[in-house]
Amino acid sequence: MSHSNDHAANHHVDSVGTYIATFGALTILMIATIAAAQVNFGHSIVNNIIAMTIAILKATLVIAIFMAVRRSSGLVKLYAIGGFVWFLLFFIMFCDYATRSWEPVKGWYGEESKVVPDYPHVTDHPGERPEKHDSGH
Amino acid sequence: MAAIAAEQAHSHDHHGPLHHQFEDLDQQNEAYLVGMWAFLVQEVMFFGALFLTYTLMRWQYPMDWYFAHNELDWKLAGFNTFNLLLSSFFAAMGVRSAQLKDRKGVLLWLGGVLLCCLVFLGIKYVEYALKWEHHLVPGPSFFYQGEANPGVAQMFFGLYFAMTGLHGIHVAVGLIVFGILWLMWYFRKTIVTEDYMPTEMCGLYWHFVDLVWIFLYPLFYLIPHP
Repeated sequence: MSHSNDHAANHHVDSVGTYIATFGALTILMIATIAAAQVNFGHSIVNNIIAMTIAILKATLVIAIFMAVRRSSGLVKLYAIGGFVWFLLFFIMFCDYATRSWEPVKGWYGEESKVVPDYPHVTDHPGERPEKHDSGH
Repeated sequence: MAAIAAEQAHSHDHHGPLHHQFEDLDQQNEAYLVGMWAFLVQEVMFFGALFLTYTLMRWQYPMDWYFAHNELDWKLAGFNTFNLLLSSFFAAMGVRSAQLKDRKGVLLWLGGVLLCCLVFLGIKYVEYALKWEHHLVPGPSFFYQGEANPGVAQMFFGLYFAMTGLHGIHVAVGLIVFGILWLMWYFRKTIVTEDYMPTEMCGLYWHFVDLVWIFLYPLFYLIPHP
């Protein structure tokens, strides 16, 4: 076996500097998330996109460097990428929820079909204060 | 049988951490890593269902979720986010020391991870205790006076406790895992000192716990005004 004593690829030791730099970048990104949350960018969608983009950046740093996936074999990369891509595919389910209101079919109670029942259904519970019934919405 | 026994004796004599069913260390390490990642991928699915529920609920009731989230303390949780990032750094440094067979380094860095675990759970305890005192734990005693619809607020706190609670259980498991790992290093168990992979596996688990919190923090504590 020509490779029996050659473990260089698996045994690569990252420098302390690499880990410190990664930790520094993660901390800066964390501060950026908190700072961005204090600013109103006109629409909450912008805030949400910024927050999730930073979270995905942080996750990528952790997976690639701390979890050493960038040095792993193709099979391990496939698992790592597959797991998180699958997670995003989850949200294809929203094609259903987002388009339900387009359906001409009425709900079971004759009202417009909804993903979650409207307020009157969910407010009926013991912890609620009666005087809050009609306020707000 | 004799052949297996002979081979076992052979592998123990000459290969150290290499188990007899593997060709070489590369193959063994690959099997470890793929097995661990298969576990982590099913953990993603496990948490994924909750993240999907979260997204659906917040989409349906954006305003109520914004008002309900005001009850949470983003500063305390922000400190915990930093605490977890620091613990991930400690874990990575611990694995590095294990690769270099530096026992003192491993004990130091893994001790840091254990300390961060305890701090995280302590802060979580303070947060949960405050929610309990304010009657914000879903159930018969739930009593909410804020601007959000109380029913939706109860759903918000139900999901808050489900998701941060499941994550908290993972932190508690991490405390046990790293506690045992630390003791094994302390007592010079060859299973960890001669092969860095067990330490690496625990590190991967811990980084995953950190990953979940990276998403939980902005989703629960930093909800923008819709």
